Amino acid sequence: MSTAGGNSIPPEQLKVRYLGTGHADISKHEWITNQHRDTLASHVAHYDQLSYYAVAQNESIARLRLNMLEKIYSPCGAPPKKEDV
Amino acid sequence: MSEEKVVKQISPDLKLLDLTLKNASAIQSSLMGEFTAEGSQEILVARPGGALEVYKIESSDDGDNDEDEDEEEETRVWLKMVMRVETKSIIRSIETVRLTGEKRDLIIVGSDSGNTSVMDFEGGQVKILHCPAFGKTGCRRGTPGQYLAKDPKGRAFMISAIEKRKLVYVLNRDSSGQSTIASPLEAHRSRTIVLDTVGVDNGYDNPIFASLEYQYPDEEDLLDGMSSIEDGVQKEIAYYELDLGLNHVSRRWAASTHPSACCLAPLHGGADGPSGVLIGGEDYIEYLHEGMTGDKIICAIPRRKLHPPNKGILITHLTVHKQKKSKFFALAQSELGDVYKVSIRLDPDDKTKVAGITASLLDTLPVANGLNVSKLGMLFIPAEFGDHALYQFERIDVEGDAPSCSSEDTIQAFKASGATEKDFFNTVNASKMAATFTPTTLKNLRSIYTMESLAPTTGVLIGELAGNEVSPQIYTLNGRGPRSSLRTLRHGAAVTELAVSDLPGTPGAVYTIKDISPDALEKKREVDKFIVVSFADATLVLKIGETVEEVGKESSFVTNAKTLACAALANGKIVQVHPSGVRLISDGKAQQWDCPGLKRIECASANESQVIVALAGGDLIYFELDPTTGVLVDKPPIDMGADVSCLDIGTLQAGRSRSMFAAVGFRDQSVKILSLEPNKLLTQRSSTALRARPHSVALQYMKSSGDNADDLVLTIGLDDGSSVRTGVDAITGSISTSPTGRFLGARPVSVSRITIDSTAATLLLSSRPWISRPDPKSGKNIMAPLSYAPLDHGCSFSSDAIKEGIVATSGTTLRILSVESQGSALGTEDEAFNSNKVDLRYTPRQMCLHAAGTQTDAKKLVLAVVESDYNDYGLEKKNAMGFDPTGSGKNKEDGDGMDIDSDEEKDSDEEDEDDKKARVTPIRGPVPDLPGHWGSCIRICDPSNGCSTLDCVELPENEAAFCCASVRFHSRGGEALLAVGTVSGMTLHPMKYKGSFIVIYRVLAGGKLHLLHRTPVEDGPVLALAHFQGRLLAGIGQTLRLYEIGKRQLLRKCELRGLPTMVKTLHGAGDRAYVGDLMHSMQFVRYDSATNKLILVANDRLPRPITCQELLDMNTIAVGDKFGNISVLRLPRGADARAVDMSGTRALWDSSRDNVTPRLETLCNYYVGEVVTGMTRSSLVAGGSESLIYVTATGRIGALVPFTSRENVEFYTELEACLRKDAPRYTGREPQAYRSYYAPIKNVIDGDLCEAYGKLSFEEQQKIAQQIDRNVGEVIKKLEDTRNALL
Repeated sequence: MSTAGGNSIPPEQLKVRYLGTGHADISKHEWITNQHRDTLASHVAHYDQLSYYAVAQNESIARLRLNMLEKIYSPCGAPPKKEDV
Repeated sequence: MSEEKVVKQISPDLKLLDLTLKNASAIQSSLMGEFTAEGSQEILVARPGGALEVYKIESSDDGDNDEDEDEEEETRVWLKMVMRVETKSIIRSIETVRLTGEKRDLIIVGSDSGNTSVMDFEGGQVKILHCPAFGKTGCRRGTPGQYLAKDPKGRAFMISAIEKRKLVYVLNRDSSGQSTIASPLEAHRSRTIVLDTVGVDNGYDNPIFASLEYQYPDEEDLLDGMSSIEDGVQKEIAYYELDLGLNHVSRRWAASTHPSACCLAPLHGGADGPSGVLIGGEDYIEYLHEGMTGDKIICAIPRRKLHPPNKGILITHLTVHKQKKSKFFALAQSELGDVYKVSIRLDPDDKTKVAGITASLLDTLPVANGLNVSKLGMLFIPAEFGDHALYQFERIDVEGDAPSCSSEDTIQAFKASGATEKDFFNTVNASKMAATFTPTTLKNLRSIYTMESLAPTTGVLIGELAGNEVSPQIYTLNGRGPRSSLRTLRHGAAVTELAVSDLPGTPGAVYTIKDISPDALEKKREVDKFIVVSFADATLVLKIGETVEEVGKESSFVTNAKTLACAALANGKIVQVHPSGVRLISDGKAQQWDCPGLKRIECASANESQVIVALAGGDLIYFELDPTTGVLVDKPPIDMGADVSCLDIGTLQAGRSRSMFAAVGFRDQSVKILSLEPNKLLTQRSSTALRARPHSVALQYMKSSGDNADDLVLTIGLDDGSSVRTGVDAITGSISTSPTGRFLGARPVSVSRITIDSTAATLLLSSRPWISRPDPKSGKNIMAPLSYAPLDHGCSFSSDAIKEGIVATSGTTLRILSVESQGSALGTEDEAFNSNKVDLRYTPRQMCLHAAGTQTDAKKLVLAVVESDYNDYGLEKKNAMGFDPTGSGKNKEDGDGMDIDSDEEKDSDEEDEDDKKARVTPIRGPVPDLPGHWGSCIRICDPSNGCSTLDCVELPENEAAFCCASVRFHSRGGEALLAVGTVSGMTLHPMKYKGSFIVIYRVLAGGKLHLLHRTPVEDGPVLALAHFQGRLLAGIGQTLRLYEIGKRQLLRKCELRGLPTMVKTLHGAGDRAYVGDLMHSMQFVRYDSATNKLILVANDRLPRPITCQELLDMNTIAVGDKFGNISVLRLPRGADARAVDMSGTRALWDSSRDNVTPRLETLCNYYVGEVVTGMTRSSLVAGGSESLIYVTATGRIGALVPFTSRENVEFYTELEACLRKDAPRYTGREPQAYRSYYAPIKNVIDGDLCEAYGKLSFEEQQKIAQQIDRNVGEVIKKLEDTRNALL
């Protein structure tokens, strides 16, 4: 990653600037949580996919959107305790 | 049968052209405003696939027919599309903004382009005012674009991402009055998920944006135990204030809302109201504003009686409408479709404070993506699924008698309970205190217009199944739940038959004569006075009045010979041309000009002042009306040297006394344009050679694409069934060099002039009737067939009752028809299809074609449709619960939508019927309180009888049918059996089920289903079935299994286990099976009959979540995936040979050894922009070449057309490359990047982008044409030809 000028960005800044940027010691849980959040946000942003799921689940599109946005809160549950890792 | 289609080898360098046949008809969001002109009430809609459309509400009582005395006639209201913009990007949000002092609204679009676009639609032209870039492309979590909110005073807008980012743009004006946009101000907040944003109205104070959001815990904090996810989502409403003085944005105020809050609506502020926001959530509507004191203002919403008390009802949309004198009310819709009126009571002492709110039930409407209230008391509902509708408010003050809940009652109950806020405001308490109701037909609203929507389309099938039509029909499965339907789409305009009457013989021609009596002229209405029907040796004159009556000899017409032409002259007389002379009739007296010698008139043409006749042998005689004496003066005959086959004298332009040219068709396969100027009479101006004899010609002025003079257009119908259309220079009379030809049918084409939507059009009659007319918007000429029986002769017809009709003959009948054009732009690509629908009971899942009947002679093709709804009860259970799907109060035995009409009492008069129809509304059945409930049925439809239901079998409780296939078991002879795959007691999250079955039915001759047996299957749910080599192939979870029919159940023959996730689609051809996986793309499987084994031949590199597939040839398959891509995959050469397992050591090709399985090659890749749910290979015209037709979840029908010539490939590639550069980018998205959204576009040309050529300015068109070494006319013709070849 680099700026428009070609200078590299320090990792701390990168993490602030781009959502979901990982790091060397990323835990499996954080990594997969990020993926789930990206997926859910992508579903919400594509109306056609939302409506596809809405037909399958027989829910209203707005209800499905709300469910997905709420699921972003914690898509994979609590992280395993530190000592377990 | 589909599996018996001829599979032929396709060329190795497959190149496809994507063309839209019908645009996506779903609406993802809509807004009311004034966009193209001041004072016009218009609706802006955003459609999936990236189109923005503006619709205007039009009604029959405004405009020029104001003074008409037909007041008792009900006013009709319709929506007319004013403009359409293809943005070629994914539209995520739209918002309107009105700059201070402006009288029109601008449009802001949030898209996937990483830009925000501000556009002006003045006069129907798009002007991109600003398009500042702020982020990456794509619909990412942190890229703004998902939400837009505007300051009600038009000073700023906020664009936010789902997570973290919010940007505020300040809008201003420079000294010259041009709008300016400042660089964005950031209002980011990390780990914050936004659910909705609105601009708060606080007059001219600093703009404030309200955001409904929550913050998720930080991973580190969770690990350190600083926070926990146990607390759950805690939503807040936050005010972001833009300080105009300091030019920065701060989070000014936040308050927690109830946990299920979902949507916001701002109340009017400043001098108009109390400001603040309404928050809709599950079971409650809340009012919040900064600085509120006293009790919470929250009210429960009235609930349906049959709704389980533990299941919440979500308010999904809220809108506030301001009435006159700073009165306002809000509308809220629930996820079930119930619309509530939310009235806001102000504090009598302090008008800027809200004292309480009341939610009362208004009516039950389709579940919508928005609520748009117009100033004229109309409500537009863009439905999530099914047709969109426009309603008229009949009553809005409903608080008195409708079920209502007020915030005071809710708070009282809360205080009485003594519970905490968190514990009290839940679903169970809401259902305890809320008023209840049973949904009924509309009481306070009235449906006045519906806009067709095919969304969601779940399946498609194409074929000429109606049995008596020339072209194939498209059958689509549409809708969901109570709005499900099976639609039959036919190319062409819908025709209304107004009258049919028998004639004494077979007519040879039909004409109408205009009424130009002073009386009629005074009314300024062009109506016809007579219909003249000509037979071989007689003429029938019919007078048009209240009724159409025959007039005999007293009309002074020659009735014992055929009529060759007739017309009303400018002086009120009538001219009739018959074989032996020209007759001038006035007030019952007649003068006649007789043919010289024994010559006979062969053909003739007349208008208001001119007559031209052709004698046998090629003599032309011209007559012109002498305005002073009022007689027709004949000019000396001129010998043309060839026999004349047809001629036309053209029409008079307004203000002219004569037509300048006549078109004459000769038997030597040519058409000449002759001058009618007095000094150059009948001299040839130009001529064109044809490939067949002209049968009929028409010369007329048509609307041109520019705003200036009309174009003169010559249309020629040829004997070989084709037509030629060419422009004629209105001054020199020269024929343009590039005529457009088109094959219309098997009969000689007769051409006549008609009027549609007050513009000139041409009616062309061959074995199918067609209409040709210019589309001023795209600058193209549109040819559309009429969905009607073949007509022999026809001409325009107009009367007091029928403004724009057609009188035509077919066999020995005379018919009066009218072409449906009101409310839609007839013949534009979008309206190229007309549809008929029949209602279904549940969401249709799949359909297949099936040959019913056991005897070979009684075979009949029927459609089998499997329908199922999740979270729904079956029909019996619904009836037992007392659910009434019609809401009319009388509970019927059969709630099947299809039978409603026949059950209606016939004695009620027509008005009541209309009224009833306007009040019908879809009502969702009771929602089960626990997951795992299904309603499902199997239906047999008869396509030859308008898809009427022959039989419908309801499945046992909670068993759902998902797939069906027609199978001919070789061991059972030739009889086709219907196999249906069902799953019982399935829940989706998590995926669980009780059992899965394959049910085999016989379809008897009458279309009745007869159950043979049910076979339980293990290993997974059955989602795909296919006929395979006289056996049944079933995709059961991860297993592919081959079944043979047995006496009491199906018998397993062999199976292949260990497919990636779940078999979703299945196809069989030869010894191959093509298996589409739910997540892992295609697997090619081969059946080795010698060893009775299914062997995996090849699979795909990319993990595509397959939704549908269609076989192109033995090695090539087209697939659609869940992300909206279409790909064509091919088995590499030789891969199959390696899969032949001679030694029996199957392990070599075992899927477990993933790296040795050959991989499919990707031939084509294309991002459609919408989830593709079905595709089929078919031609849309009889005998045409095949293309791949696909349908999407949001209701688009598109075609991928294979190129047949290298020349066309080059042309389109060059044109596409030019347009990628030069076509306007309304949202700043690069077209190529958009079509490569998930994977780079490959071997597919974006035809819609190429068609944008027609909408460019002439200079740009010319520039592009030069770049590809062609001229503008050629390019447009090529585009037209491609589309014409398809339809």
